[in-house]
Amino acid sequence: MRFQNPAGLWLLLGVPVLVLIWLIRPRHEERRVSSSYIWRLSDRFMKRRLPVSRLRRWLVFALQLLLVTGGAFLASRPVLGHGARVDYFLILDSSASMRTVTESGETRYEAACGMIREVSKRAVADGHTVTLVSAGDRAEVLVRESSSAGEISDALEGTPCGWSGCALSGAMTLAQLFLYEHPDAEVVLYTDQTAEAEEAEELTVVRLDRGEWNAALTGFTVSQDGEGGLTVGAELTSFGRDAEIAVGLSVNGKMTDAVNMLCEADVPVGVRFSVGDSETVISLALEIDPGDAFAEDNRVVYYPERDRPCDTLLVSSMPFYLSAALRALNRGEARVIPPGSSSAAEGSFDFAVYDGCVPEEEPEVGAALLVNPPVLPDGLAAIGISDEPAPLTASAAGSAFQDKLLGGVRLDGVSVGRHLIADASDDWATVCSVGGDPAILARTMENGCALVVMLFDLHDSNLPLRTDFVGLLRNTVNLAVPPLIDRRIVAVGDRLTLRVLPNTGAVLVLSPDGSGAEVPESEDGAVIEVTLPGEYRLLTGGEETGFFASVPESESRPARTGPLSLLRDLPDGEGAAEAEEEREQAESGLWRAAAAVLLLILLTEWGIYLYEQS
Amino acid sequence: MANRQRQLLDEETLALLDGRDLNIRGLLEGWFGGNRRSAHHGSSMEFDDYRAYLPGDDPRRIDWNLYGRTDELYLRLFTDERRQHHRFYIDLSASMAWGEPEKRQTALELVAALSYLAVGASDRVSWYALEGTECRRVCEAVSGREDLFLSLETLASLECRGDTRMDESVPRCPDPGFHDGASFLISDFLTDAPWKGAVDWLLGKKREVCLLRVLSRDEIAPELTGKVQLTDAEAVGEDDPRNRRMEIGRARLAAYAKAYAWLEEDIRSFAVSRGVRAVTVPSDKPVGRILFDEAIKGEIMR
Repeated sequence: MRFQNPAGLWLLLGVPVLVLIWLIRPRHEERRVSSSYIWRLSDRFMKRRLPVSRLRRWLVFALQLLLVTGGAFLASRPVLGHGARVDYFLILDSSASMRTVTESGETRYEAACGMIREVSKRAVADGHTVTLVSAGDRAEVLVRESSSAGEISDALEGTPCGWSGCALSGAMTLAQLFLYEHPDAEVVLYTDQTAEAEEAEELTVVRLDRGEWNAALTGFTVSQDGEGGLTVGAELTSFGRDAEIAVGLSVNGKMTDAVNMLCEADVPVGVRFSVGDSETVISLALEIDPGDAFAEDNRVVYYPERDRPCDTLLVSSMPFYLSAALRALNRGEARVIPPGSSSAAEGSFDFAVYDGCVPEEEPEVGAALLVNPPVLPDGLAAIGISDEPAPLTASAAGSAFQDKLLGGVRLDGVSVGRHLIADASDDWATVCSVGGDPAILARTMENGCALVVMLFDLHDSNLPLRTDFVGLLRNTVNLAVPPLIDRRIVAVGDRLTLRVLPNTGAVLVLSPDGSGAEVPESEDGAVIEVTLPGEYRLLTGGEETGFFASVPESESRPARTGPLSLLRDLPDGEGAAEAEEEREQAESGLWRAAAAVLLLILLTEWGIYLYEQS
Repeated sequence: MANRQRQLLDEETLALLDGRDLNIRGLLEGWFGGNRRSAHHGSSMEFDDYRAYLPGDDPRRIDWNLYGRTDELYLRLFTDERRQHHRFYIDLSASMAWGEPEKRQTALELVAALSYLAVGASDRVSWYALEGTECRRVCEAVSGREDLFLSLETLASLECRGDTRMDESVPRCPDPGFHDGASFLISDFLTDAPWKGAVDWLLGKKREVCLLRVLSRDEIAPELTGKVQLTDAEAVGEDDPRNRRMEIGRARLAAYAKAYAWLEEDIRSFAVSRGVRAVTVPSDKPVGRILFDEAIKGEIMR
């Protein structure tokens, strides 16, 4: 037996005090009387006393002793059972790797749950409490200081293993807070993370990694090979042992290539495939089927980005360059009208190009391109015209617009013979310059329209003659019709923003488990949280694309380099001051209790004395 | 000596006693020459009765006038007055040396006062000290006030000690008398001994018996409280069974009051059953007031 608050044993000093009071309390006072005859005679007139009443003094003394000793023991908070008083704080690693199947056929998670049930049953039977924390994508308290094994079992039953990483730091923070409140708590971590560092003494780690074999595909990459094809790459790692693993490539759901890879244990091996025509690729998948213990990292699927159709209005008197480039974009037919046509306002467009002219009203489109506008929009003031040819270069200032518009665009060799010199306000971002003068500028209008202005005529530049003009135009169109998603491969637990256009309607998201959910159109984009690994299909306006959610790469071989530390002692600083204050309050409460007990004893003695005197 | 006398019988008490006498109810026998009426007919001047003449009677007592009227011879009978002898048995146990003033003092003052009344009526008094199982003669046959005052010094010198067994000591009285006066038993009667036997023994001697019970105030209404070891003044050693350890609280005091009342009633009923007068007096009450309260009410004095 030990005591959580040994200071409470000081109350036992009340016992000798009590004995002292008992010893020095008045005994029978000798009184001489003329005759005790009547006193003796009075015996027959006394009420018959119960035997217990003769023991009253001893009973009172015994009760006082019990009161003092009992109070001391209660105040000292004795701990019985298995030699220790324990508040169990159990941390269950709920990361994806815990789904690894062990030799017994159950997953690590199931094995951990079984252990926790056993521990909880014993702890509850011994009168201890159990706090259970699940460490999945975030640390979550499932059961707090429970004394019911059933409650703990139910909580485990209702908490499946996650698909993401292990928020161990959050769980350790909770454990630390718990330790501050319960300095003698037993903190146990059930995890499959391997760690080279020794753990803190305050932490008991139950390792569930039994060296199960796992092969994983990681580091998936897709790149253009410059010949219209794609290069697909990945890293294959066999964790735990050497193995020969077959890797297959599927294009649009059909296996097109495969290769056997010899993998040395724990050493990544690069895998590379080539795909001929990227235009026909809807999906690419790399997969292995080695029969390892953790299957969630054996496959990765890639959906190449596909441009979304765009309704374009081209207002130009000489639309040759622009209409050709728009056709090359293959984003749908552009409506070409001459400047001044009243039909320009009719219909709704995603993108509008005004070549040598300006719209009569602020365009209600996603983006607009003004080429050599005769009238500059607000914030731009014409200063003059430069006839000196100069190369078109990216602006040195850098901006978000520059990243968006010049992404994949090379301006080498592009020059401008004649351009308008204008002064731009701070609202405008300079994307490209000619001889130090802003040549391509962009800004976002108040109605949300992205406005791009070229301060030169396309006929005064070789830009329209280069393929990069198409790329620049694609990027400009993407300001109006951006891709539905930015990333094609995400990790479970990530949040993905869908750019749902006003004209295309809602997006139907089909999850790997077959469930579907509609994401309504939104200017700011809709965020979906990726909770399951696998392929997500996105359907909108006749367009179909998708992305793949993989388990975090760290889950293929969960490992930790740093030790997990917990402090059982009081923290320094402000926390220490608070803890010290709490301790002082507890001690002062203890002394108050001791004083109350002593006062009670004295009052009892006094009451007995008065009763006897009366 | 004079001082001692005044302690037992002061001028104030003497003044109160003037014109008073002991209340002797029965017609007792006694020595000739006294003032008490006797059961016998004698030669006093107080006419009592007639009786028919019988041969051998003194012819000088024939009432000739009555013979003239009735032609029958009758004798004139006169009361006979005797001198009585009263005896005072004084309990000198240690318990009598208790109280404020001591019960002994009050008892001796009472003895002196009653003796003063007795000798005033030409009676004689004898004082006996009851000590243990002995009955010691203190002064015997004191007659006349002068003799009384002379004897008071001896009376005042009596000291209390030990235990007294009246049932044994009284019958050892060297001269208890027979049908010639009253016997006064002066004690606190707080004893386990069967003192009633002494009363019966005296009644067997055809004595008028008066019980004078002197108690101190703390015996009548004790004020002890708490846990006490009661040591009996007459106890011999610590192991004497009369010593008692007890807790005195309300219940004990109530029981004491009941015991005291029971004892009073026991003495009273015993006295009634024996035709004995019994009076309880507190020791702290002046003797003058005792005489005019308890003594008159108890028909000891008139």
